[in-house]
Amino acid sequence: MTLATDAIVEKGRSETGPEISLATPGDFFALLKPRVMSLVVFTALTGLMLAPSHPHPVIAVISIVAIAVGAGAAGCLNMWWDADIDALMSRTRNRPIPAGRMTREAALGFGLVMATGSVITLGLAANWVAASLLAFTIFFYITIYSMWLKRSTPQNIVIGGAAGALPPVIGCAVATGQVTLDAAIMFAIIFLWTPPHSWALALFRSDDYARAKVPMLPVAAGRRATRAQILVYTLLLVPVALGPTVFGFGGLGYGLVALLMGAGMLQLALKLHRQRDEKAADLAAKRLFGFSILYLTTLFGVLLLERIVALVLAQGEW
Amino acid sequence: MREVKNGVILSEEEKRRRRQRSLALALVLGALVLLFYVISIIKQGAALNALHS
Repeated sequence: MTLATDAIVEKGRSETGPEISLATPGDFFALLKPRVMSLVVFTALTGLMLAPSHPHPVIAVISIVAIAVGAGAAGCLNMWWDADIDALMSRTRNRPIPAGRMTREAALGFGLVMATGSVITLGLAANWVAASLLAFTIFFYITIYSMWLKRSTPQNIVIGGAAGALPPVIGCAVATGQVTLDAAIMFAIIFLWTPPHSWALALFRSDDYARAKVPMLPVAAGRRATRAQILVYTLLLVPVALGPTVFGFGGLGYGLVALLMGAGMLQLALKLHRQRDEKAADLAAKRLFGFSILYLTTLFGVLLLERIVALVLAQGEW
Repeated sequence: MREVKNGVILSEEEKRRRRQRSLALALVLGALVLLFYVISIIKQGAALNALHS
């Protein structure tokens, strides 16, 4: 650029003022949805540990971090795409983009770099099957769920929930280079867990979603229909959650915990379904939402613990 | 309106946040260098073990 064009650019900037970023590293980290990332790390680690063979421990750690970053990138790109509706919802209006701390373009660039980097790192560290699954997960979450389903159908999180169910499959693929039946069962558990979990949240946040014109089930089909659907999916989830014990990669201890936690989940879903008073229904929905997080964490936690104990005992026998 | 007579003048807060971002980026890049070094060592070690076994 010449001095003359520099002056023209500066004059142009002085009309409106250049955009100077006020984003901190914390804002960039917030784009990654850390709470979702932690669940992804946990379920991916469980998938990896339950595999019949394991990679080098350092490779395993790097792979889990890559999966977490990939999940974070998906969250970041989702925030880039949904910045307009995030601004309308009280739950999300303090996110970095709607709060004005970051531009959409910065989030897009950050998300794309993280997505590309995480997939390449996973491919180099582990294998390209796992990397392909991670790439597909990110693609599915952004294009199929965020760009298409979320704003067009009440079944958005049923189908879109597949993205959240893939981390244990990716973890298993890191260890084995393939998708196993065990991984498919873990996928099924999270897939069936996602609707009651997300719809419970949508019930007590239905005003937010209505304001943003997101067709979550309570907004599109009504609260009563949503409570019925939550019960249906919980009834499907509880027996499927026994799959690890039935197929042998979970012990009897896991089976017992899955039964007890399933009974708890079912009880809360029934209680929610029977509510006729809307305020009481909101409270019941909050309880179910909170319990659903405990439910999934406990199930995968017990699976992981059983596996670690088995490995430690096997080492002790040498 | 921002003063741009002699180029863009950043406020102290803008400078502080830019420093924070630059430091975070430097740390991440350093960690990436280390990460790929470690991956290479481990993969080469595994390949050598496979060769000798």
